[in-house]
Amino acid sequence: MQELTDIKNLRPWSVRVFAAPVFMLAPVLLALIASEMKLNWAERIVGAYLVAVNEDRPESGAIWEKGRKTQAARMAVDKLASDREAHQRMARNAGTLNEVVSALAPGQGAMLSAEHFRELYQKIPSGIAAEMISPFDLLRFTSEKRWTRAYLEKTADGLMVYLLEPNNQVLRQFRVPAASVALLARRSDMTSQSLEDLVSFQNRIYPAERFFAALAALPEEDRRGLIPQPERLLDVSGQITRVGISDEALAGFVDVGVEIQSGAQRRVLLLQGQDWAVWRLRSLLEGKLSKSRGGKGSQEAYSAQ
Amino acid sequence: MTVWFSWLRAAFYAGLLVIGLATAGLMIAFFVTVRDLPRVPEPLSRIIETPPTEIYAATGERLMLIGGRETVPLNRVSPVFIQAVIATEDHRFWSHHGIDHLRIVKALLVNLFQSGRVEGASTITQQLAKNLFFSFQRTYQRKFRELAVALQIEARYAKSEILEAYINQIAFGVGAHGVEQASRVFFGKPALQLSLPEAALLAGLPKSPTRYNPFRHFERARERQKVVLDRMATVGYISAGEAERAYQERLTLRAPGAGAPSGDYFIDVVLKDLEERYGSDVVHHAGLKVFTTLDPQLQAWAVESVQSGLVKLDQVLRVPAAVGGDSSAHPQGALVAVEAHSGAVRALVGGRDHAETEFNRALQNNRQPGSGFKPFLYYAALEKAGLNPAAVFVDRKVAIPIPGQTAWVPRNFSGEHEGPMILKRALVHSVNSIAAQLVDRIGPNAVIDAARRFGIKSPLAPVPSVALGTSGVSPLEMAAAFASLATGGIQHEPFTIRRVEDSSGRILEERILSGRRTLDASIAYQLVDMMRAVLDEGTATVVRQLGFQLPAAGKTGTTDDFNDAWFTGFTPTLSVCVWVGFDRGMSMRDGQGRGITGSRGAAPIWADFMRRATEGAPRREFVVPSDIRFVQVNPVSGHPAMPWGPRGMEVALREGQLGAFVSVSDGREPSPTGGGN
Repeated sequence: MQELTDIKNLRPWSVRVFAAPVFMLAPVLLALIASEMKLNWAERIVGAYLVAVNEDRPESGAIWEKGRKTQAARMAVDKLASDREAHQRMARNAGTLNEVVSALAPGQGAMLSAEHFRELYQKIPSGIAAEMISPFDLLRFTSEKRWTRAYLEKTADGLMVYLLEPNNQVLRQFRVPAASVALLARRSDMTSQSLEDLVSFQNRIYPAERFFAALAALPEEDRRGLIPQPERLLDVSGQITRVGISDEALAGFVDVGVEIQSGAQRRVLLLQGQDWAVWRLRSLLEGKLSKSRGGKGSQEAYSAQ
Repeated sequence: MTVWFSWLRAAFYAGLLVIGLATAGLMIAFFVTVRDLPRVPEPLSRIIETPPTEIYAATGERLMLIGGRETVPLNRVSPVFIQAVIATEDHRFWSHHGIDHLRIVKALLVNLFQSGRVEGASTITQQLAKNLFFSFQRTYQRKFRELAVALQIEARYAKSEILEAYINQIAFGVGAHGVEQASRVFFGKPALQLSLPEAALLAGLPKSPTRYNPFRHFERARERQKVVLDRMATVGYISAGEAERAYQERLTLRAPGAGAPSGDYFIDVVLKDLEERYGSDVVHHAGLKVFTTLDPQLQAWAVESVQSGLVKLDQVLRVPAAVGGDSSAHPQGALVAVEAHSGAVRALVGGRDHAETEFNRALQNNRQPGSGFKPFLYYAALEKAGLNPAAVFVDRKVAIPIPGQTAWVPRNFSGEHEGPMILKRALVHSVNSIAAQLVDRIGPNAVIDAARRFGIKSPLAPVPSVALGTSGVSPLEMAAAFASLATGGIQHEPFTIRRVEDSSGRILEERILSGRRTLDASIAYQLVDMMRAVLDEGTATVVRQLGFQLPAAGKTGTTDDFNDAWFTGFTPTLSVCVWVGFDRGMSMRDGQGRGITGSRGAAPIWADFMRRATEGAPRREFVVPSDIRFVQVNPVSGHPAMPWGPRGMEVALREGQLGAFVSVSDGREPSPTGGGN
């Protein structure tokens, strides 16, 4: 070591510098550098390593961010389309207008074919139906062959119905007030209760034979106003035992509850009679009631008015 | 000497230690860094899979693609373009493995020893990695991560795949991403057909798409093209002679927007509408199909009419050509065409050049409509005050008292007063003093109420002068509002989107074309009849002089000091509003100092557009309500016109308004109904 500290004596230095190991190491290093320049082995090793760990790394960066946005956007659109399709499917399968209406939230709409709308229209009590649109107008639109679809849109205050031409031009639009929509909703109610259980009927419950006898005494127009679709009653299985008249009127209609006994089970079918026709029947029933109080006794006095 | 040697030896070992630690540190840093490196998608083509949102015209023609890419395989790209890109961006692309060692050394030397020069050494693979995953922030860490990802891409994918991904995602400016789109935008041809000069120009753009935008800076782009050609010659793809010949070759750029439907302003409206409904991400990433109301042919005519009209206006106003691209130095214009029976916007122009200024004057430019607002006043007067078009008013100087303020003294455009005249004549000649008397009689709120029923939504000040159009409205509002007259009082909301579908064709929404009656049909017709005379014998006769002869009605509008010139007119099927004026609200005057009125500035554009839009269309008359009767009256006295008297003016009267005229025909003193003053 001493000789190395003597810089005037270069021999020991040159011996070290030009030693065999140095001569062996330098070419190796040079070969490494040259091979890297030529073969890019360092890049390949790093690249191969990164390929191997690719799956363990995060999905970060602009392209993944864009992918996520695309996915989120597609999901949002998919939901919109699915919701709309669900409404459409429901509308296509609906058997009554009420089914269409009850499946829609305010602001939502459903498109029906003209034929389907006509079918639903025919099932609406004629009073409500005529308030919506005259059947003669529907006939005219049908015969003109311009009416292809109907768009029903639920609004905060009812239902908007648009009768559409093929290019979505509106042939006729009309609003069904919320009260009428509510009436539609109740129309098909068949409760598994008795009339006494329904508060609004408790004051006016009549034996069936008396109710229908009074009904028979009314003119045909009044009877139609009171029970627009009597065939519905003919269809029911069981015995009609009693009929109640509601205390409440809604949108020009009054509920008429028909109690049906089948075996031990009682059901009430709700119908909507036009208020003027119901009032006439009530007058008739109440007139008979005052007569009958003397003869038949209190057991028939269901109406306490 | 011993001490010196000891220090030297210590330094040597310290150096070794530092190198060792640095190496270890680098290794650790490498492994730590690569853990957070972004995952590279498999396959690489996934980067261009975002479905584009497509916007269609009413005719089914595709107007625009948003997002997504028009990708092409390498064999559908001109080989000279590929050579140009490689020569310019990374000439050792085929031989390196993500890093160009020699270029790094050269860049180091240049950056170290040539002050002021900065040379990069990014390879195409590194640029691809940067574009896919990283921000454009210049940090060593970002550079290292970008380099690592580039090495991975090189290790995993073939050079051709890397190159294909690169050329399909680079930005060329003016919204063109990828070579195919760029080729079509700049040269109107597919990338496969690019010639050498075209390829060289395109290959030079990605360095700075805005700076080298050939539509705006053609010479700069040409200089860059020369650099690219020289690089190609240096690298050996072409000879120096070929490079020179290619540079000398004349380049024909496609006109900006040519070939594409000219509905940029319209598309802006559609996009804004879509983004409000669905959000920006859905619009740009979900691949919607949007079917609009635009009629490309009408739109093209609208653009031509506005541009040619404004060029003529430039000449009249003597706007110097030297102002060049300064948009505020030129008068601007807007045109909106609305289908009367639906509210569908069929054409919309928001300015003379969308590339110059995107400010949409058809919607955003609430400028005073001047007398163009008078139809709302007249409707209110006919309805609220029970007046009829033959009611006589006196054109005289009036002062309308305003509580707490000085009286409002409106002036006629001519500065003169003509004395008595019927209302129809007053509207036809746009007499301000009679309009002032009407608003004084019915009140400004009645005018505003009428305007709302026509569909005007802009804020309107409840002051008498509102009747003379002192509250700003947009051309879209005006066109839609006048459409309510064309339909006999049925108001339709204007709209631009008919239907929206998702990428697989499921309907997300479709427009129901409904209108609502907001105006009385008979009064609306009376107004239509009055406004027809505006074209036939009033302030807009220029429309007839320019050759538009179909039944139409309208009203001119000019604001104080000639800042705005309007004409809104309609046929039974189409309602069109035209506005012209300076963005900065300057006065429009010709060389003689005469102002530009609605008749001079806007009506010729309207006539030019309508002449083309209705060419070959059948003559359609406005529907006359059953209770309307036509009577010839003296336009001054309002009396029934006599064969020996002055030329009569035909007025439309409702049945209930005929009484006075029957009595006149009986020979009694004439007393036209509902007159004033």
